[in-house]
Amino acid sequence: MADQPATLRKPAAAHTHPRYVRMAVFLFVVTAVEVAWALLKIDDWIMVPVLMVLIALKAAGVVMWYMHLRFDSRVFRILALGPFVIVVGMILVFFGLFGGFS
Amino acid sequence: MSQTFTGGRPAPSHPPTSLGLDMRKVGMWVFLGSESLFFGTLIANFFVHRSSSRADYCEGLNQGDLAINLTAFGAFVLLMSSLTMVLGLAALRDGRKRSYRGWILGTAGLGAIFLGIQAFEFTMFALEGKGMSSNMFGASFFALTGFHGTHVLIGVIWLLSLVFLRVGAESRRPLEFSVGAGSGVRTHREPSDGGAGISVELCGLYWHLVDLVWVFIFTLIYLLPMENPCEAEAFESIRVVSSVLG
Repeated sequence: MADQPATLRKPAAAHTHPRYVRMAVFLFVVTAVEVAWALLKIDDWIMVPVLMVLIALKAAGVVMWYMHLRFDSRVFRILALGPFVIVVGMILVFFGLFGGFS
Repeated sequence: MSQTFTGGRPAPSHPPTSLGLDMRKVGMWVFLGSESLFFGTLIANFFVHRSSSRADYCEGLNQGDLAINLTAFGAFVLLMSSLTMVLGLAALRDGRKRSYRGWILGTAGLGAIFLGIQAFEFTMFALEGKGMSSNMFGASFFALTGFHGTHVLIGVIWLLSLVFLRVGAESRRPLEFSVGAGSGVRTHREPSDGGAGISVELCGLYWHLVDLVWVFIFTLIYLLPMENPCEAEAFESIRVVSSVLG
């Protein structure tokens, strides 16, 4: 099985009962926390990193569970992560060049 | 396509591939990757320009005008639509057609509610004279959120076409590989769930991307704090008036 392609290791129907509703509740709660946190009007140095972590949690929930990347082939993970890394890099470069943080 | 081992089921509409993956799904992921680059560019554009025009910032659209409560409700609606979408796909794979139609129509309905919220928000801004050309904040804000709204509209039309026009209703996923234990010989077999619903799965991937993009837009544009030059201006005015009055 060592030389078996990655796409063969997990059959498409490996997930029989994904916990979609539980994930929806999780996303709902994270969004509520996010809004409440933003309304607290605290200092940026603590506000911004926490919001970034909450975004990452929500995005991971949607991509891994609802878009099935958790269960699907690694090829799809590469196709999803590649552009995402480029996007994040591009935004950081833009920020560095043009001062988007102000 | 001359597979004879389908056990009496209709022949698959997609031939087995060397990766063992449906190329329509691979194509959709490539498309979604290009879309994320597109949205990433618009988000970067927003951050660079949101406070670049201080002179007309306060007169035009600015962050103080954005209604967080309304858009938070929109964010909840989109998140719930992602749930109904996956439940619809699961229902289709379980062969529960009636339930499938209900969930997909529900998803389209939630998408329509989101569009209504966005139309209301845009109309309010327009009535206040705070349009796309009012300042750079407005230009980059409307470009980003309008582009996202267009994607939601396309998604709603796609969802409705699945239900009412039965677009791709008979499409099937390709045969899966299975490797014989010990022998290492590759054979093909029908997907365990019958392979139904690839067209719905593709639509679902698109819909979840629309939801995912809003996760970023909502937090980065609506919630992330920014220095408010209008407040600074007001504070400066008060300070000047106070100093004049002694």
